[in-house]
Amino acid sequence: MISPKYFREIPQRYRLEASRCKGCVELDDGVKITTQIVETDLNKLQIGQNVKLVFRRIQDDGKAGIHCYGYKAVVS
Amino acid sequence: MKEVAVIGTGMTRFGELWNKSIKDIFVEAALKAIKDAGVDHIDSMYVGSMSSGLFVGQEHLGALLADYLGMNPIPATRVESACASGGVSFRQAYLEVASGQSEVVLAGGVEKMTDGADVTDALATAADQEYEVYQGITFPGLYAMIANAHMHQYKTKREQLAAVAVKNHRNGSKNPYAQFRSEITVEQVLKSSLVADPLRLLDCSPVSDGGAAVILCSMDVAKKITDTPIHVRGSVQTSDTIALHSRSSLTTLKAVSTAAEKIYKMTNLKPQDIDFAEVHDCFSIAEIIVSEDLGFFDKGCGGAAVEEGSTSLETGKIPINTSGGLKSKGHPVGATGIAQIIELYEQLQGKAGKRQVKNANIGLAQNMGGSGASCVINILEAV
Repeated sequence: MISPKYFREIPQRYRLEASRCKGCVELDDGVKITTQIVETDLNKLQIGQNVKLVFRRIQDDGKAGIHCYGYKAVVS
Repeated sequence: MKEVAVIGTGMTRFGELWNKSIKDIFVEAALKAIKDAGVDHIDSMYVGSMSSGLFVGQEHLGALLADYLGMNPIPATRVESACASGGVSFRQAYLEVASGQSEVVLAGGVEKMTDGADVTDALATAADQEYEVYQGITFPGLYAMIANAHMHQYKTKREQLAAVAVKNHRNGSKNPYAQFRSEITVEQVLKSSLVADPLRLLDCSPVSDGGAAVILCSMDVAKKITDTPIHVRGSVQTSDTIALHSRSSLTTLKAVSTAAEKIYKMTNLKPQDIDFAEVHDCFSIAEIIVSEDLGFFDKGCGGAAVEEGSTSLETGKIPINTSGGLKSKGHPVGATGIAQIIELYEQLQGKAGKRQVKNANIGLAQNMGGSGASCVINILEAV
């Protein structure tokens, strides 16, 4: 998998981490997605770097106590 | 199809209009436009609004605003195309007049964004909820990805992004309707708080309240009412994938380049024939990319062009956003596309005061929604 573009932003609703990075990622079969890039030193992240998808918690519905899961990317 | 003209305009000041409701704002702009045009009736009206439901809990704007304007029972239609709602409202009115269905039509736009709704969340509804927003994406985030890609591919510099905001604030300082009428420096932009790397606060258009309206009619009718009608030379609209990641390139907005191609063909004009333009600078990077995709500059050269003053009011070969743009004039989403038309109208009539472009005969307005999934371009010409 390739991460062609990335950025960091101050989180609004999604407060599971203090700082977040998201990017467009192209999968091996050509499908492209937007995803969070986690467990990574953001200062070293490069366009074109290889990443792999992992299964993670995306957000919480606090009052109802429901956890929402999905994919995120980590540098492979 | 009939030839169509704009014969009057009206707008509120853009900004935080605490003492005015969405109805007050729209009615003020619409009454000014009707008075300015000197017409005794309108046959139909359109109102562009992106998200009045989320911002103020009010839908059904067509009938509501026709009611408060005292215009029932005319047909009144609310148009939604995210941040392009105003531009599309104008295009719908243009098509209705051109078709011969109506004689005099009002095209308006309004947004009331400062009433307490979570604006970032409301605006994010213009992106793909399942595949972009669920991942925590916001609009500053999407345009930050575009900026990163442009900086990576074309070596566009951070200072060049800042130059867009500096220029637009300089223009906006001369616009009595602008939300921010203060000039800013490159250093101030670079030191403003980080929103989504590399975009900082002063790269981003503000949250605004405001309304704008224009009156359109056929050229035959216009010539009986005024000596100085402004001709609508052409109008086109395009769409692209809603999600940024689905596109083959992040550094070209295909909806914009396709619309440009179509409008130059429709009007038999070339980019060099355009005297000045209002473009959708929701974020500084957007103006740079759009100025390239409209054919004003080669791909990758938009950043250098703004830095060198090629788009400035004072020295530019193609002045861009003489009104102050979304950045300085303000961005009440649904009103923005109409306010662009009003700037074209004032310039083409030679009534833009300190912002006047010399020899302004043909002006282009480009308005887009989302991360460029909707685009509308209108070209107006002095008769």
